[in-house]
Amino acid sequence: MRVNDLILAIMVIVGGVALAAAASRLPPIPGQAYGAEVFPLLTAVGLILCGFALGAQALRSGAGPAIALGWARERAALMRAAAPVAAVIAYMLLAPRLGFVLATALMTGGLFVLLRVRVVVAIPLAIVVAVITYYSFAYGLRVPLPRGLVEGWL
Amino acid sequence: MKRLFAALCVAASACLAFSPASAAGYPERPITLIVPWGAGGGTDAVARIIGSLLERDLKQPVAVVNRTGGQGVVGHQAIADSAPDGYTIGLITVEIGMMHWQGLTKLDYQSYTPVALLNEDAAGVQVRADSPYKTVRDLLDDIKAHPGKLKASGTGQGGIWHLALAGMLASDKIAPASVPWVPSNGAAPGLQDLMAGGVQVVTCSLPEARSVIDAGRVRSLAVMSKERSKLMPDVPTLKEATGSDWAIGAWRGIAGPKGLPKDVTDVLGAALKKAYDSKEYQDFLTSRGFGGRWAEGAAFGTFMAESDAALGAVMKEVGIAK
Amino acid sequence: MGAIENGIALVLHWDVLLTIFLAAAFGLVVGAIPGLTATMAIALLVPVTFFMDPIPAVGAMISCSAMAIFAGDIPSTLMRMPGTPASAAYTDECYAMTRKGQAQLALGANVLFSALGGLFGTFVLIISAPLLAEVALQFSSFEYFWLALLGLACAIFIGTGSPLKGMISLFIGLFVASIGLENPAGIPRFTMGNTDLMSGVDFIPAMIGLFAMSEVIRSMVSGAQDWDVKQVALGNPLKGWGHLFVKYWPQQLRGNITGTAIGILPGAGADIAAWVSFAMSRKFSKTPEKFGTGHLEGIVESTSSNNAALGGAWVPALVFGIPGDSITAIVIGVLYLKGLNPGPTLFLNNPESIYAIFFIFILANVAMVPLGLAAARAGTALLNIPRRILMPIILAFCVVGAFAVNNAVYGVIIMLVFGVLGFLMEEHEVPVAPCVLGIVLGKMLEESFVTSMIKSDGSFLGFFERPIAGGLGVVTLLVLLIPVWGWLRGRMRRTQPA
Repeated sequence: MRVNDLILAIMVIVGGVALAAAASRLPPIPGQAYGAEVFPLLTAVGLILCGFALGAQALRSGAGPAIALGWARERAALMRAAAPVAAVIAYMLLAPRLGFVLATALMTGGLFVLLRVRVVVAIPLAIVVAVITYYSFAYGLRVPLPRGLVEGWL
Repeated sequence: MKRLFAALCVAASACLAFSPASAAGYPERPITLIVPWGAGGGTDAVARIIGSLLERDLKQPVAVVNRTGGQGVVGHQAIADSAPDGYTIGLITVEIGMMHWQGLTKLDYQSYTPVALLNEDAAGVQVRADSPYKTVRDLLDDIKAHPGKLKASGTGQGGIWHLALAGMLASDKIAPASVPWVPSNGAAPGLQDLMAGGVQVVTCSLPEARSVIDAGRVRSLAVMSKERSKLMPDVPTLKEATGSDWAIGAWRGIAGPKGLPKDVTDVLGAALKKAYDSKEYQDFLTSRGFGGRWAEGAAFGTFMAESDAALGAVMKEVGIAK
Repeated sequence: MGAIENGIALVLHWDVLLTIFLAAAFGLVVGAIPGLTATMAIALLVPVTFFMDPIPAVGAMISCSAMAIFAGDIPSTLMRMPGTPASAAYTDECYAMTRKGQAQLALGANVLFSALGGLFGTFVLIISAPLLAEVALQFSSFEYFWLALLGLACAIFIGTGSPLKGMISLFIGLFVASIGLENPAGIPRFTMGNTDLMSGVDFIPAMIGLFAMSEVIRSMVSGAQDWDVKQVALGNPLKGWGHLFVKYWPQQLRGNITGTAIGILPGAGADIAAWVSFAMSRKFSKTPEKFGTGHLEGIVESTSSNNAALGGAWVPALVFGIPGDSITAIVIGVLYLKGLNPGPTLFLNNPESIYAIFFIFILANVAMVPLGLAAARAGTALLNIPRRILMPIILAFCVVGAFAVNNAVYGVIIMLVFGVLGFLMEEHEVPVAPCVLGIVLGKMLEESFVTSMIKSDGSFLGFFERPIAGGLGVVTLLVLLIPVWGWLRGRMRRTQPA
């Protein structure tokens, strides 16, 4: 799934202009002639110039269709692409309540099932992965992973 | 999808069946000690030795956790936001009395339950060993005669050592802008720039400048405290050198979020007192050249209130406060 | 000569050797876990060293850090998940080799040239530490500005595909670097009042997102199909190495020298060294078109370089107590605790300790070979796991690694955002490596520029007045202008005949 270079160029230019607008509102710093706004402004100028160059290149060589769907035509592929993103979001929402082990087991287990790993393999495997990760990080490396309901017994 | 739903149900029921045990004899599980500064700095070193001493005394693991960024705001916020159950405490630093004046955060010392003050290091005034300034008086006279000529460094814009310099200048009736501040990522890069000839003055604590002073590259002209430092007793205080009463230092202490129960602070306070008095901590202070300073509970709170007011006054004078 | 023998004797005790070995194994494990850095491994060692004698304490830190920097290459090669920014420069190249079934060859080369690079850096440290420290101390913000610009110029040479899209990627990285409070002005930029955003965007979770999470998404799109390549077993490593060593000795030597030179500077380290070396390797290569397809040449040069830089960082640390990176910053603290106060006097009063430290450096780099090879073999076995099982597990590691960087969910959010961004960028043939370079170097570029302007009262002449700065400036401008000039000349030729 991709948009053509002309649309990409317009997005880059719009991004650059927005950055320039936001940067120009930063306050001046006493004692610093080149204050907080200088580098973001230079970055914005760079983005805008690159955007125009890319746009010119696309116009010269023919931009092609506005959006090329490619794999995204397939609904199942779209769902699979969204799945890791959804899984990480679900983890962030669940971990503070359920704790690391359950949230991780749900995240990996869900993805296993989506990728057609058999459930009898997927569920125990997800739990084993979560428990081992918890042990090695929370105890071995002292990372304060979120504690929930089962971590107390581990 | 049906199978996934079934798995979810199993997990959810498992969660509901067990609720966490209630607190009885604190501490009964591992404690997290949040440090708002990165691994490798002085604050991190203090936290790690205190953490290991607490661990020995409380018989529970104490995990030192660095929460860096935003010039300390992020870590201080994390300490203030944690649950007041004693299982998350933090090492708060002098910046808690500065950030809110700059409008970076609403947090101030009242957002915490003070437990114990552990250490304080006064600011020193350092110049290159081959510079013409023999005393702070020489330095200040030159600044007065040629405002803008000398540049100083030692920390970021508006940081504690920037204030130390500004306060010293102001106390001698010199406009703080007479010495432009060159922001740096801490004392070590500032000192390196001093030796490279990029700046002429570095205000930072004596332990931070110790290695280059010992190497004969840098000279300390004065220390901004009421008493001379134990580490370098030959360096005069600012009062002795110029008569100014200006004193400032970076301090570190243990605190918890607001509303820590009294039984928890009692246990922690006692353990910290033991840790502070231990041979290990005192040896650590001596070998690193850090200054020890102890205050417990309410006394630590009063100390923070005074520090906060003094810093606010200087920051307004310099124009850093909002 | 007595001091050297005494120094070696200090190390040759079974307990010292055992400590060094255990620390090396620990560093290997921590470094191989994405998101956990060499700095973290060292910080975790600190409380343990409180209870040790000086020599094993310092030895543990040396071997742990050397091993952790190398181990960053393992997940980078196998899962496209760079453990440290120092391996990000050649992550794509190593991963391309894995896709061709040459994971063991890539890792074997990483082990060998990391160890050789580390030894080279050590010998430079032994021979000329005090002298080099003097040179390093002459570097002020003017010099660092040119160095940062030179590093950014590498983006022109490392990207495959459209240079224009590489530039866009670089500017995105520079924008990301400007988010937060850590800027010379000390004011919050683009934070929208959010406390977490004040700390800016840490490059480690961003890197995990851009490289690893984007790869997980891409692989999920195709249903996590297994690759139809078989991993080629390395066989006897010593045989292949002789060949590699002969074939790539110029690259290796160049990488060693570049790495050591950059590593010595307190304001620059292994990450910049690896990028500069990778770009240099491509620039001087006889077959630059092979870069990006899984070609060893650039890997050899940059992996030599980042390990050589590690030894270099100890030069200013031992001679002046000025840390060259966050690892040596921690080590300096431990040296003080153990009464080995860094400084010229350490070389005079305590020469046997210095020689013991040097000897441990050599031991650590030699021990890297068997330990590293074993880890590389064990790691490659992971690739035999079906990818529909591997991908969800990698995602779980992405989450834990991103969390562990600053122990906050904020890291996971950064990882997620950059994972999606990286996926979309690569769908549009925008390379992600220049973006990482922009994030890593953006702060250094801005800081060195702004502080230089304060020091020179706003005069640009300052960038050329100092001898080293002037020299670096001329080199940087040449590197930047020669491609532009070549491009203009090419255009003129093309338009004239028409």
